[in-house]
Amino acid sequence: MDSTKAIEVINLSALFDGDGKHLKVLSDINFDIKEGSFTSIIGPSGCGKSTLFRLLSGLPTRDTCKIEGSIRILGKKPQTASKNREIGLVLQKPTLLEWRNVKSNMTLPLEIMEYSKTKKEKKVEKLLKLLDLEEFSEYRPSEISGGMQQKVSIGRALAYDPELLLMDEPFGALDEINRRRMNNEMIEIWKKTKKTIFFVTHSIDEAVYLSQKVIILSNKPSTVHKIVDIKLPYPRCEQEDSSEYFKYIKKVRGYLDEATC
Amino acid sequence: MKQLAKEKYTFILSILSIVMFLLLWEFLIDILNVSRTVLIKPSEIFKTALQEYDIISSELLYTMKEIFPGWIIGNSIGFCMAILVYRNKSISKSLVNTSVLINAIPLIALSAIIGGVMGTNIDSKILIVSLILFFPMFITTLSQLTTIDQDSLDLFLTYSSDEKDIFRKLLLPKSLPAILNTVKVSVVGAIFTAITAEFFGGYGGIGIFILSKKGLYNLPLVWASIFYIAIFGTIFYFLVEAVQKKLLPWQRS
Repeated sequence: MDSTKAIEVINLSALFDGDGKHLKVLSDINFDIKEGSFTSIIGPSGCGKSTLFRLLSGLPTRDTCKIEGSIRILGKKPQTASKNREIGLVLQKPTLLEWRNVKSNMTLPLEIMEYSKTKKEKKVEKLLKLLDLEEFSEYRPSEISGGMQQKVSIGRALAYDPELLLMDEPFGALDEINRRRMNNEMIEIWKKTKKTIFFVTHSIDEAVYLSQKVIILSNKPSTVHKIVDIKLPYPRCEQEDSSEYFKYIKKVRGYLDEATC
Repeated sequence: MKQLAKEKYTFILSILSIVMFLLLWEFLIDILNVSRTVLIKPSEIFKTALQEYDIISSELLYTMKEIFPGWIIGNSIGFCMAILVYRNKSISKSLVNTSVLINAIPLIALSAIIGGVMGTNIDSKILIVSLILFFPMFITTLSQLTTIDQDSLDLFLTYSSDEKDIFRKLLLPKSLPAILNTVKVSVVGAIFTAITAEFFGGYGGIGIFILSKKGLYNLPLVWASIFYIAIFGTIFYFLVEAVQKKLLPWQRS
């Protein structure tokens, strides 16, 4: 097994300072994520997940923020990894461009990265097939369902083959039925593409269902409360009623309760 | 298909309501015995409109030579200035303030002064139309360019896009619906402004024509002129709307 680290977070602290605010959002966070693994991060709302997500993605934080410690993405600074196009983002909202159809939404990053036309075509064909969106390639975002829109946004993130996929509650806005379907498809996509996936969620079930490792964050200032390894084989749809699966759910819920109060 | 049938239905309905309105007008004048110096019958207006087509259309054509260039120049300047301000954040404040100041002046009242300085020819009317139209366009475009969805911007940043990509692939297409709406609405403003500006003096045009015929109490000719202006304005407006629909296929709901 290749055990290179895709993400390495060492003693990370973040402090919002200025404008009369003095708020420590992240405190001494440590964890690392193996290449090719599926990791979820869960925590009470307002616990700094979004800040952590932005720091990992290499995007500038929205407020002035003092950061201590370090983050390494594939051994580099997040900003460098982002410049090298090694990070793909999937956000809570699909954020598709409404004037482009499914296909050209997915090729948008490739256009900006100046891929040749044939390369673009080839890539998008593969993606449409992977995501089972071939019939919808000419549809506009407003003409497809929320779940499909999110799939397009996953396709867009995968288009330039980043090593790491950062996902911020991507299925949070979907109803239960669509969410389950998307979870199953997510595992398929992960198996086929072998990407490293870092998945922010607020659903215990989703975290246990999807990931190999669940990181539980505590509240204000947030720090890593516990890390749970989920040692269940994929696909997990048949084990959902097993006592083992329940044990994991209970464990994560228990830790989350501890972390919240 | 259903959509088309519905559109046809509303079209027939609007034609019908116009006809009803004209008929009511026609007969109420007889019934209520309204004096000819106050209001005249639609039938008489149509008759005059057909008889005097040549003279009215030549006057209207003169005014169109003020409307079209003014419309194009005003909107273009507003658009270009917004881009300039967006690009050079340092000059933005002063330029926005200046344009607000210009807009705060009742520009149409300035017509008399501009006429005195530039003469009352076509150029001065084009200038007034441009001055009036540039401001809504400037403000609309600028506010569109400066309000960005943070998520979209974040995504563009992860693709390592430069300013040019963000402008061309995100900001401009995103702003287009609002910009074209302003272009469309400004059609009405352009017509109105050009005709009103002519009231302050000039060598020709439908505004001058209306003013002189009104002075002679030739109401049928005044009405006939208004009739042609209305037709011209409607055609102009819907042509722009057709272009707008063509350019924004994703906006069709």
